[in-house]
Amino acid sequence: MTAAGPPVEVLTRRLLETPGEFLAPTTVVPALVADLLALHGAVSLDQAAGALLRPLESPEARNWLGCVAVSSWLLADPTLVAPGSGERAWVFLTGDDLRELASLVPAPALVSEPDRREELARRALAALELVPAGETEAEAADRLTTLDSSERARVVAATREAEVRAEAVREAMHAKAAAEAAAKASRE
Amino acid sequence: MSPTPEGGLTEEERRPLIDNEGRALLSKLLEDPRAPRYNHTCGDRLTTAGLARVRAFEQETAARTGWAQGRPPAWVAGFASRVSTQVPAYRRAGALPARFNQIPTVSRADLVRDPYGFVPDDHPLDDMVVYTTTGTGGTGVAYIASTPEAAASYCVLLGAALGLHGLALEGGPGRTAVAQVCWQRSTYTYASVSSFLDQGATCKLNLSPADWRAPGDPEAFLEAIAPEVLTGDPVAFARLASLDVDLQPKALLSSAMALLPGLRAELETRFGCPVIDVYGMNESGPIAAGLPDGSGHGLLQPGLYVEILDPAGRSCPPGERGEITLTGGFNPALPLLRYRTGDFAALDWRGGLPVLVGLEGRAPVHFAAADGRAVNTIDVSVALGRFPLARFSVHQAADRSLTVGLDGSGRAADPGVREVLGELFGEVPVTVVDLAGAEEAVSYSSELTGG
Amino acid sequence: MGATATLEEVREAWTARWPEALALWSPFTRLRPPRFCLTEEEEGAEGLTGSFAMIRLADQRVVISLRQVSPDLVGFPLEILGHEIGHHILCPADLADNARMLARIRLNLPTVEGHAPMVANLYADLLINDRLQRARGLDMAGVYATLADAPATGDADGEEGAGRFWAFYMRLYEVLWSLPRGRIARGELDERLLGDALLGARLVRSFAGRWLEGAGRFGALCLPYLLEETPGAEGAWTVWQDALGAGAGGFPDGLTGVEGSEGRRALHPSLDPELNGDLTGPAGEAPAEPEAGTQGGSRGQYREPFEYGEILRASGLDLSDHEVAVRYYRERAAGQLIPFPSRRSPVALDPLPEGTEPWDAGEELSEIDWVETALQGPVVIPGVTTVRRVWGTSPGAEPERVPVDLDLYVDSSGSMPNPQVTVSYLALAGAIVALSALRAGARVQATLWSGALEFTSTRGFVRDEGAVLKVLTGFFGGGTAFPIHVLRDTYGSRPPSAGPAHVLVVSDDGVNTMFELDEAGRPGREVARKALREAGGGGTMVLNLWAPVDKVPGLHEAAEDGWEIFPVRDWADLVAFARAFSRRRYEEPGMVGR
Repeated sequence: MTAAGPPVEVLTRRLLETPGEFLAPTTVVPALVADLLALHGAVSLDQAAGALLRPLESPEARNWLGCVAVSSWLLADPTLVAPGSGERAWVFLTGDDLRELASLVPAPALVSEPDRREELARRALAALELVPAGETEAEAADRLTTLDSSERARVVAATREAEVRAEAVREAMHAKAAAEAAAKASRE
Repeated sequence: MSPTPEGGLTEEERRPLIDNEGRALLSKLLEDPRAPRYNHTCGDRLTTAGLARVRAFEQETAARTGWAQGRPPAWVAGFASRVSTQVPAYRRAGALPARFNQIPTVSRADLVRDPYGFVPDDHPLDDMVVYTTTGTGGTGVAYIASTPEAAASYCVLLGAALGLHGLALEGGPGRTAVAQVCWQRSTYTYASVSSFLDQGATCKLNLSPADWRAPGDPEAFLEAIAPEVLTGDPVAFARLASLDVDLQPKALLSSAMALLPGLRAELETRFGCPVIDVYGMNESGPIAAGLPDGSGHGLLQPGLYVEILDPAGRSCPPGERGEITLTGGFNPALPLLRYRTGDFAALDWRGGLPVLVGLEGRAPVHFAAADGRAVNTIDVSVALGRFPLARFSVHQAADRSLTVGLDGSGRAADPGVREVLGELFGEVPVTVVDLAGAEEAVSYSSELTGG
Repeated sequence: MGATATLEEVREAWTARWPEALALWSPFTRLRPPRFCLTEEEEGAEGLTGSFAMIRLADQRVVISLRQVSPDLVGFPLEILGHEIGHHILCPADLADNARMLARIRLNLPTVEGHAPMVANLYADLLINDRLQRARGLDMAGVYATLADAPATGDADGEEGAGRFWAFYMRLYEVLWSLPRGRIARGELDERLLGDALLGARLVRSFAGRWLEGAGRFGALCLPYLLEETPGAEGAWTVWQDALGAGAGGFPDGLTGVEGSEGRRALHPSLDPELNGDLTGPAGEAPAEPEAGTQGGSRGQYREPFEYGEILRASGLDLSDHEVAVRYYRERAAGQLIPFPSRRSPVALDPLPEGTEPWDAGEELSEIDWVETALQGPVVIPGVTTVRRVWGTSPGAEPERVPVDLDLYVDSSGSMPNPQVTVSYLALAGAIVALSALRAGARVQATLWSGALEFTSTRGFVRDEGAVLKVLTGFFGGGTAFPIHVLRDTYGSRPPSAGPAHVLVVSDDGVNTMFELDEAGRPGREVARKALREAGGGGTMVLNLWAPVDKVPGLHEAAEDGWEIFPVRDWADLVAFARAFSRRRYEEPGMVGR
């Protein structure tokens, strides 16, 4: 079941205007999330859930929390706030999709990089079961695939894997062609 | 040309196994007052392990194995499956077909366009050696990846060619085993010592006067080093024969262009030794050598499978001529999988061993006289070889008119060139133009098709 | 407007949109209106082949064949006009940048350099189209969708290679413009291709403001496709190759020099931290980066002549190796000109008209005496019927310096490097001295020589720079025999009024053939000594020597006879020679033999 959502540009614009404190290390993420869920009409964060968002020591975990903070700012956009969407918002913030994205993208890039802004916006729309205004469901899915960081990392890795060796061979052949050869006893 | 090439090796890398005797011989070749102005430095770059592998290859080569008619040797299947996954250029064709003869062929054009794609994924790049060659058919420069061991294996195969004539390449300390003679406008020249030849020397010399300090030096120097064998192309040998030089080589090994029987007989008389036609190409090294009775060319490489294909890519029956197509080879940096050579011959079996018959070298160019009679390119080479031409080109148009390219020094020979071409071709219009561009000594082209 | 519109109607409609198309780039853009061809003859006259549009940088021209614009494209006047203008405004914009873009791309297309013009065109198109589509809201995607759907491309599937390369290129636009997969890209889009398209899109955005630097990287991105298969000569993608001959008719300056990173091969974008940055994860776990390619066509600061020629030809110039060499040595010498030796006149001079002598092409036009020229015949033929006034002297107030003439002998035997292929410091030395002489107002006679009877000369002492350089950069590659008779006859017949000349011989150890007998059987050394005395301006030998001067037979004698000898093998030698040469003065008449 999907409904019409706002145009993607509205959300990427909002991301571009993310207040600096959302990315500050001192941000209290559980508080942000609690405010957001309240906006979406969900009951307040219970203790167990809050513990999930406690700052952790590893850089990976901190990056994920940063992504959660930025996403909280995004989901607070008036065009996305709707009664009864608290559950979906919670699932998005703590779900596998955002964890995967966080494993590939530094949180500040979700604000600074155009493609990453669009990716986060589209992922959020998909999580809320909304289709961007002016697009069909299929178009939206295709565009998300193109932007998908894990998908991008995968295909670029394929290219890179092939190119590391190919480039080394090309470089070696040109260098050696210019260098001295080994004696050969006849010509062909 | 700079005497200190870029990317120079240390002396230790260049000649890891040279000893005092080898060094003495090398100095003699380099410092003889009559020596040419060498323009290049190179050694055999063979390490102890590398030398051991070349010796093993020599053993394998001496065993002289072949394959039965219509059945590829056993190693071919494993080789094909390996290179089809390990070599980018072959991998592109997709999964290996069920039958060997369904594997797509490749040609020089593929190699010229993507030389990198022929280097196996697991081939180490550190000890790679790269040769560049210009094509004979205007196909552009080919980069040929190779290894020091593959380069040393040339000596093994020249030895095998001599073996077909009951001779051997001995080398040994103090002796110049192989002198390669050229007659080109410009080419690399050097002297080197081979650990495989037990500290014997090899050298490459250009007979072009510009390469020497004084007239008479080429003759005097060759006599002084008295090479065990000479290698070269027919044009260089024809030039050598015209010099007043007294040499007693074991044999002349002629390569790069087809050797005509007339010139071969002339050279044998002149030098008092067998003149052996070696058929090979840069992509594969020496492939086959003329048999003593002149009935064909015996195959030299134990790990090279030769097919004869018709224009549609089907196998020709024994005795039927087609394009020589190669699989395998001794060069690990350039494994060949159904590589079309552009050369033509038939396969025949003698004593269970395959032999190339009716070998016709390098992309046959069809020349015709005014009366339609075929004119052999080698006749043209030999006729024009009488003139002091560093290089030349001959092109025949569809109307049989000839365009002859001569360089600056060759222009003086213009009237003579016209005369001998008249003898060969009869009354056809001849236009002489300035030769520019390629360094190839000789180039032939024709708009006429075979027949 | 539909397919029924006549060509004239289309022309009218498109012409009307031209100002609007110019304004897409800037309200101040000035460009002459495009030339619209309606017939094959008009296309032929403009040299338009293979595509429906083309640009020429030299005369800032846009040419469009309306006859070949398919009916489906007629509805895209702004897109097409704006695109062509973009080539003039954004990329390649001028002759020099066009040539430098080609140089960078060529270097990154080893073995398939011939595709450089096509790749450059596609790269420029990306930059232009992305700007028009995104910043100006034009429907560039619609143009490509139309091309993709054109019937001619329907069967392109058989052409795997062209198909794959073109599919990559089209997919790149899809990524740039957020188009659904398959909107304009046809054929199978495998992972490699998708990855390359992502990298390509990133490259276009990252390097939009410094596109020359991105050009090599784009070449590296295209290389694997071009290595695998040669794109077919047919197909949608050839229809709009509008900048292949962009450089025709013009000539870029400064191209002999290699600028910045131009001489280094670029990394494939997948290996380039600048482009794969955020695609390798937050921890930046990029694999060990290979060093940026160091292999270049040219080492050091200058290109070799052959590479220079290849770039010029890739930009659409039709020049022979010899013409390229003339340009090459002229440009390289121009930055190195030296004060050319002059000589204090024995008497102070006031000009006094004395008569006329032939005026040669290359001399100051203002020197022509038109009245006397008109008297020569009804038709003026420069260099034949043209004459100049010759001024005699009368004692005057001030002493004055006059340049000595230059008599140049250039060895072109087989032992000399061919100056048309690799840089010859000897030819460059000759060019520097000759151009310096011409700049100082001297006349130059140049003789190129090789074997006996192999020589070519300017017609005596001339002021025609082109003629001198043409001789200087020629190549025989034959035997070695100094043309002693030219030296002898030059001074045997030189009028005393001609003033002194300096003799400069460019050669190697073969220069000693000068001392062989001349055709009359006289010893060359005697002939040369006499000529040098008669020339009166001294003699210099610039030689490619590997042995010390005193070890080369004949050079000791030459030095005794007054020749000053400079070995020149490389750039450092050349600079030393030029410096020493420029310090020479010819203060004393008959200084030779002092």
